[in-house]
Amino acid sequence: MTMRVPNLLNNAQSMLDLQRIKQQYAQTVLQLTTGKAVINVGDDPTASAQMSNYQSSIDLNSQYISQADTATGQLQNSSTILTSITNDINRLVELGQGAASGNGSANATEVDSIRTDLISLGNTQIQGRYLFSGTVASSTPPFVDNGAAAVPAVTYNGDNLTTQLNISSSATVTTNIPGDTLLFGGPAATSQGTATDLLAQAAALSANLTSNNAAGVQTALTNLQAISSRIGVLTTDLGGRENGVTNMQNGLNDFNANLQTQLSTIQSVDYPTAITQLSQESLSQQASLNAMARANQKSLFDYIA
Amino acid sequence: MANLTTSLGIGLSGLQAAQQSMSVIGHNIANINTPGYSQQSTVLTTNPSQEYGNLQFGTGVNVSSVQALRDQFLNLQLTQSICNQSSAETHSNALQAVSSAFADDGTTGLNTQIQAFFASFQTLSADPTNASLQQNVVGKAQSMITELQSASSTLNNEMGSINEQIGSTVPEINTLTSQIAVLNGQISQQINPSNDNDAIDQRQQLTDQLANLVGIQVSTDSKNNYQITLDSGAATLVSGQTAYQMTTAMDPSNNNYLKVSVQSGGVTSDVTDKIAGGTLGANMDLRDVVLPGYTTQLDRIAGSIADQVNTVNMAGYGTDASGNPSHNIPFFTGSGIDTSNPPDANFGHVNLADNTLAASAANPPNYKGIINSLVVNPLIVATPSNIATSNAKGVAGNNVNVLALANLQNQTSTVDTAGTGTFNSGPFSTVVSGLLNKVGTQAQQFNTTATNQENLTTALQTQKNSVSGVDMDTSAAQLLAFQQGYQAAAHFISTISQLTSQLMTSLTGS
Repeated sequence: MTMRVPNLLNNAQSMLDLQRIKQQYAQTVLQLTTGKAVINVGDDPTASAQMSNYQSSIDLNSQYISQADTATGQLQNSSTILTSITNDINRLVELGQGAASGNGSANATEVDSIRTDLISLGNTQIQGRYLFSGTVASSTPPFVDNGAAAVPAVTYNGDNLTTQLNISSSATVTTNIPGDTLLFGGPAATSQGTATDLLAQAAALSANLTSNNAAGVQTALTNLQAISSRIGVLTTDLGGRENGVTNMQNGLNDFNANLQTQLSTIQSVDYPTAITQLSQESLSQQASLNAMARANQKSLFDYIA
Repeated sequence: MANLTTSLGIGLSGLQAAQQSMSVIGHNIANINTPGYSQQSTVLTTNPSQEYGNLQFGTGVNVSSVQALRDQFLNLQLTQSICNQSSAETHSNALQAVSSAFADDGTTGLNTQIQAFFASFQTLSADPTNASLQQNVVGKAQSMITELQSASSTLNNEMGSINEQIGSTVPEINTLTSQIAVLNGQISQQINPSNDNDAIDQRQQLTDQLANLVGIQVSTDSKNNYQITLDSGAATLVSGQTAYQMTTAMDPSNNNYLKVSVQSGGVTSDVTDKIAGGTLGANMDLRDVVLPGYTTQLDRIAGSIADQVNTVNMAGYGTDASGNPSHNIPFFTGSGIDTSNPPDANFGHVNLADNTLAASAANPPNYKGIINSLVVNPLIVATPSNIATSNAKGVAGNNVNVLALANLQNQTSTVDTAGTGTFNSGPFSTVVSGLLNKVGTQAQQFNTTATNQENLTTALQTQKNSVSGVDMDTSAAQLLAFQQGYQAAAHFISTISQLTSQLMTSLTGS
């Protein structure tokens, strides 16, 4: 069956196909100039939703990575102070043991100055915040020295609570050590003045050195040794937390790198493919135009007259 | 008996038939580029023969009719296809325009801003009393609101401009239906209603233009009148020589958008939701169903974020301007946001029916229009320390509540996606990307439908051309044939004339 084809130039099908080739060509050019495989949401809805989800995950992980950095910073700051405290305790023990050779009063003076140093370590501030005040945020230092003879010798203005930071969607890290746990060995109400209270033991050591009370000095030294191990445990705990945070952070960084790669795969245009496609479409368009131009435009009228 | 005079008559009939046929061919050639023109041809019939004795002698030829070559079934199919194509194209173009509101490339976009807002809580948790971090939270909240409002206003602007298009389409429709009615009259008044070929072609063109604008059904009656009704059958547009006008009026129950009615015999029937095809049908669907669906989802997302953040914030403690603990402070305020404490179990939103805040299973929450009035609580904007970071009264350094605020971004069942009062969604980010997917999918579907319809229309058009189109070669051949016929008939007449002269000469003897 023959179908009549009245007028080739006006043929609707040819026109439509030409327009489509041009549209496809324009789309490929747009992809190349923007570098994106998906220009409009409607071009590939599934990919668009996937990209949105990947981006959300990456952003969320970045939040946690940044929080991990902050946590590490805070933990390291605490760690540094703990090292100084440990050094101070060691010096106290040395001073206590050296009393046997008769330097009682001189050592006592140094013990006092170490006690003052310990209090100022407990009042360490980082960026305007007290490191060891628990969850209390105020301009009053957590440890106020009322004098070794006063009761209480030290007023603790912080609390016994810990602060958490989110380092993943299901994990938090405790970033602080409350001041009373650090220097008193427990909540201020129950631990201040006891054998675990570092400041009290330093004051006791000083008093006993001055009064040459060997038994008292010995008791104080025993307690200081115990306190030293307690601080050691705290140091290990901080170190452990830091490791945990670092591991978590490394994991998140790796995960983010993977997500970013997958996102790029969907999001970015594949240049070699797109350029090849562009030349193909260009060729296709030229061929169509050429064919249409050369189509036999002569009709019978040209030959009759 | 066949005599010279009769023969003259026969020759003359041949001459006239050839001349009329050539005239029709000329008409075809002149109209070769006229859109919608159907090629015409003469129907030549032999004249009745005369009987002389036992012999029948023919008496020549006559043109019994001028016929146009058209396929009515094809025309009806084409009209239908045009309705569907224009509807799909209108949908596709509009969705293309609004999909830019939902694009998210990681630096701008809805999900990015929502994420940044919750991230600001995360950063604040490391130092809850830090004034610049608190200010940062307020800033990010305001950016998020701006983004939500921008997406919503893109959609609303599109609806507004579609409304204007509807307003300008209706007069065009009325013009076309009036013209079609006039042509109906012209055609049906002919003794033979198929005679006026040019009027019939013109009417078909107008009908196709009408089909582009509004979805219609066409049928023909015995007098070749076009009966045109809306595709749903809800109203008649043209019947015989009468065209029924479409009118528009503002509808206060729908944002003062236009509603469309057809007036017939003093009765005005509202056809706003009863048009499926054509530009008008597509625009109605976009303006009243598709785009409001998206704005509703945006409102629900915004409302849900506000509700969830408010609940957690009101449960915690911040610090007011005088340094005292503050409690029960909502983070977001705006019309339709429930700031009672504790908030209603379903976060009762303004119920359109009775303007109350109470929600129940029978009165599910209504989030309509929340985005436009959503703001960060002015109390918090003035004094950012009012952000409830702490869960212990008077302990400003406690960050438990702000951790809870940050963790809202991970929680599921936070959004009332179906508007029924049941919170059954994934986290905020998946709800937003779900909306993105929905917009993209619909855009893609309409694009595909439009392409398919375009293919169908083009194929039908090509078929129609092959039946009705004027072909130069055929016209040339026909012209040649009739030209020769004319020449032959003229020669015949000339021969008869010579014979007559000879006869005359012989009779008069000179």
